[in-house]
Amino acid sequence: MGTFTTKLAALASSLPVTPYGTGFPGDIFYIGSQRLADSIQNRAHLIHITPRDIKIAPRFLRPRCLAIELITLPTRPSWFKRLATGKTLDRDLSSLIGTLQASNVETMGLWTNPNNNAKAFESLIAALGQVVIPEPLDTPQTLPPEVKVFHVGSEPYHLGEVLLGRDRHCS
Amino acid sequence: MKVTLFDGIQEMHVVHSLASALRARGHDVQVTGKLTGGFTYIESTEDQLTVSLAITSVAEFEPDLILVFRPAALPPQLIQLLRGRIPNDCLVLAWFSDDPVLWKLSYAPTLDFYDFVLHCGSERILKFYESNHGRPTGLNFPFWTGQDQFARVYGSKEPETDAVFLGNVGNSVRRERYFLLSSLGVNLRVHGDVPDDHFHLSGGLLDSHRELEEMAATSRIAINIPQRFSDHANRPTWFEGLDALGTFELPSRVIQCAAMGLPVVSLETIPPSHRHPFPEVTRVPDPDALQRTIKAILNDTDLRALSEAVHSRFRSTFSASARALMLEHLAQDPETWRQLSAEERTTFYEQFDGDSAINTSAETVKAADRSTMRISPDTQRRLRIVIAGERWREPFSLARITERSLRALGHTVTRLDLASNETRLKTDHLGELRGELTWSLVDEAAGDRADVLFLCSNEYLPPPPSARPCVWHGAMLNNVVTPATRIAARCHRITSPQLDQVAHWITRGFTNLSYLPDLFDAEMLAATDGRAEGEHAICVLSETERHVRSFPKLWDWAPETDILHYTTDRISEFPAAMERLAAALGGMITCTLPDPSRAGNLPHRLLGVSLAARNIVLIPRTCVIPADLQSGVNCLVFNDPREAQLKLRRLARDNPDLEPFRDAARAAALDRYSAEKHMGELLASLQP
Repeated sequence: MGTFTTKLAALASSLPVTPYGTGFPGDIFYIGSQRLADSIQNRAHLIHITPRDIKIAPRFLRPRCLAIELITLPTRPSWFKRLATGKTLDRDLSSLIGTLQASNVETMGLWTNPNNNAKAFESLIAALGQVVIPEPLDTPQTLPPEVKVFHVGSEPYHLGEVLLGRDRHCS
Repeated sequence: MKVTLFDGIQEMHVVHSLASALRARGHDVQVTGKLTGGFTYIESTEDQLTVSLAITSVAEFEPDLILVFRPAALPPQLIQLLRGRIPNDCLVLAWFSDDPVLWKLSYAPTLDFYDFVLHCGSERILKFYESNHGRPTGLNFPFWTGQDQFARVYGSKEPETDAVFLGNVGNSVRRERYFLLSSLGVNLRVHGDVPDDHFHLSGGLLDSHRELEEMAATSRIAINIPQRFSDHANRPTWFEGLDALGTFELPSRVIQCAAMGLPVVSLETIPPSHRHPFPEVTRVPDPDALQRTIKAILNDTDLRALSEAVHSRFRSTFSASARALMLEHLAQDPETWRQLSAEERTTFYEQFDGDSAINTSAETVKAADRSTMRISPDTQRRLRIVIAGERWREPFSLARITERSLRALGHTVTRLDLASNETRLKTDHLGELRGELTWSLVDEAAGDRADVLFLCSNEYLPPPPSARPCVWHGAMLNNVVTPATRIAARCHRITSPQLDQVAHWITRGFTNLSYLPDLFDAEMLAATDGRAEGEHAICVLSETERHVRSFPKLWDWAPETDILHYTTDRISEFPAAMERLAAALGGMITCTLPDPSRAGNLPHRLLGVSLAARNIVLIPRTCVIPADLQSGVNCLVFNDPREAQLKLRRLARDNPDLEPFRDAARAAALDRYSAEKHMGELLASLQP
């Protein structure tokens, strides 16, 4: 049964296993849906932050920016609602935003759904201070005037570009 | 002396290695096995019944010494019951493996019921007990293991990474470890629960001792980050003063690594309360020093010499043989230690040299059975058997496999299709089941008086109990409640593929119940033995197409052309069904998906025949893994694509000849999954 061993060796050598320790260095802290993360993963170095890492990650990593998707159901992770609802902002999330801003790290919300209600993210948007809106979505009228708004192209990679500090135009 | 090792902890190697070491020194050892789980005293009726039955068995054994591995299994009323049923001069000890974390929950409340305690901690901890209980409560008895559990394998293979960390890095208490490890800049991997693996550190979970040995053979050093007691703040285990007691200095993983000869570097931010118990473990005080030290060791140290030193300390001081000697000493002199100071009691174990103990504890390894299955028809008595079942059109249904195997054994077998005979059944007076069988209907199906009835269904009541045996075969046991108990009450024997439920039911007094996984019969084996090699590399076994879609990511690493999806045949007949099965198993790897159509997280029902076909069988960890299957020995257990890829790569890399692995898979299948073997044994057990 040498064939069997040879076949396994051939398959094993072709298995695309990501080498140890080759993860991204954490250019961008991202909080949001897996769907959006997947779509921009190739263009930007995302560390997909869940509540598990909110307190610990900033002690070890210095990202270029923090991006939080302003998401509504059904793609919203179950824990997202706990982090930011209307006027309340989770203490750990608030601390994360404050810590990063104190280190001159950009923070921004990603307005990816035309049906979003700005009231639902009132405290979060205020804390982040910036909102990125991909085409063809318009700027919601309900956004507070002091919030800085960026528009980007409609392709997923445009979001990646803007998160890396490129390809943005302020409205 | 007669020694009982009562209950067990997750690291069962401590129990098994101690049993081996004691037996090697001529003692008679009773091992109850793992009876219960959890860190608080057992409460459920079921657990209490399990422990009560174990106490009865211990009383019958009449031990001279009992070592309780999990005091939570013996709340006050049960430890009292145990003490009441054994002779007064029997020494009853407890080992506090989670010292002092469970002090408040399950150690302190019953401590006074034991003659004394074997602690697992530093001088600080022994002093803590002394001050809280007003007397010395026991001696330090740190973790150990045996060479029969873990062989010395260091340096026997090419390293996969420079360093390895064994442990979970997922929950809130342990998450910091993940980022710390990722920031070290060392080529390392983690074996444990690694969710959100941003840095690709996960090397997969290790599911067997074989895989642990593989880990030790393919790394140059191990990293230990001890658990700090302060991390228990806000958890049920917390009590005032816990944080002052330091860290868990010598966890099981350090001792396991030492047994395999793997050098360990330990990050110990809190200094030990006395000289370090394992001086050959390299200790560093902070993460920066950890990084520097690891690099220095990897570049400048004679790792072979370090491995030798670590292993030597293991043999002399941290082996099961050393602990066996200490137990012997304490059994002979259970009083003198009470005069010792906390410091002396902390290091008391060091005087027992495992190297000096007789070491003949290696278990005899059972040779793999390379033979094919032999069928020995019971020609002495041909039985007239009726199988009352369903799904008769499906070639690999329980009823059909049972039918073929019983015929192969030489018995006269008749089908009774329950669905089509429903109008002829008696109505179930409780309305829970679809009808009640009668012996007259069974005899009518047999064409004569039937000798044995096999019921292969969960939805019909067998005839009332009589002298003629009824076997409920393949029972699905969800809870010990009606209607399952009503069926069980009428059967002489019950078999079920649900390992955990079988254990629960037996504790409830159903001693006529036994575990039998989904079997295969000789025709299935013959078909697969004669198969041609397939074009595909991987066969994915699922019950339905829908189930395949439920697990889309498990094999998405392989090219689509290499994959063949096999869905259990529902209607195809012979010989087409056998040919199709044989063709499916003609690949190299079989991935058995869990079967969501049945309760209990069972693997796919064709697992056994896949093993018998000498495939490399991948089993998702979400399945209940049958006890006889060991990942890395006769199958591969995995949870996600990366883990499957890593384990296949390791298998290919380390096994230039895959025959031993494939033989082991076949041997396990012939032993545990052969329908003819088990039906023969089952019928023999029914003979008066």
